[in-house]
Amino acid sequence: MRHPPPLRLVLSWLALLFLLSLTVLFAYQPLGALNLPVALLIASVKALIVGVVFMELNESSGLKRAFAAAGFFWLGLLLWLAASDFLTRPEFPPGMYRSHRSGQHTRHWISVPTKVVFVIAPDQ
Amino acid sequence: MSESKPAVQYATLAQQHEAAELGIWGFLATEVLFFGGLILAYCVYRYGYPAAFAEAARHTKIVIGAANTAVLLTSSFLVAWAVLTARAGQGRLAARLLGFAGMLGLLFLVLKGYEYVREYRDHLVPGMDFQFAPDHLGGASLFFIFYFAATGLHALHVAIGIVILFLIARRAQHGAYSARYHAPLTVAGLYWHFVDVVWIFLFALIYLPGRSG
Repeated sequence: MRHPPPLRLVLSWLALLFLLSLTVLFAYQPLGALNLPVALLIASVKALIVGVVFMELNESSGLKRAFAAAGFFWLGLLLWLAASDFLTRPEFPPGMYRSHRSGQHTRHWISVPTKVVFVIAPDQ
Repeated sequence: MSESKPAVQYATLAQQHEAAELGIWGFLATEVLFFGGLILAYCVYRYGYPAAFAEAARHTKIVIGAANTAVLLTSSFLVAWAVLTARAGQGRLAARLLGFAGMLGLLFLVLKGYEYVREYRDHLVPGMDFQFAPDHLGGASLFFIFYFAATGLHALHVAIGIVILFLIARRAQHGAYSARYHAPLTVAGLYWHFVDVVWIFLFALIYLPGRSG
């Protein structure tokens, strides 16, 4: 070929394909709770290669890098604040303790307003 | 093309390019949050229905998904190469590379469409005779709602990217870009790479869970 691609582009491309096969390989290993972090770690490395080499962040000004990081920074805020809600709920998803097969009705957020109505109604 | 002079509000072409690139990076930050909202919904419901999500993810077509990942990574590589060649004044080679990258984008959409057809036949489309193991029906249907919303919106981005790549390829063919003037090409490339990055994460969240169980 008269105009071969720069070596760093070829190496990045091969690294990306290698990481793709690696993440598929790891997905089939019984790592338990580690499967998700491993998959996300490999995805992040792939995204970093695309960002740094293909999107030329390595040669970009600090302002451009700040713009590139901003979206992920706010995404982090979004996930963090949302997690502080959902991870601290006594019951999520709603109704998970009310199994229709066992017939057990344990404490349940829908039952709270019902009780309030029961208390108020006899007074009227 | 008489693009050798900067637009009236800029002192130099370099300043104009800097503004254009900052603009696309700002746009991409909003795109991160656009897909980020979907990913948050995924995280919340995967936390709520871990077993159903693993079982549903096992029903996705990982061979097509992995092939499509390789297709997008390769097209991203071609676009990165094309941007460099066009800046070096090799417009015709850049046009061929961009055209090939666009064709890979089309291949991605064809494979995605074939995957959708198979999912429709497997009764995995929520709202269209969705069928799943009764224990996981609710969680699995949430997974597949996320799957179709996220991959559908991503496919829309791919389709827009393909059109942009072909338009840019035609302009590169006519020698529109050079070391001094290349902002549209660079901006189009950044958009295409971002679409690739989104897919990298969607692939990890959609196709990989539940494979080892």
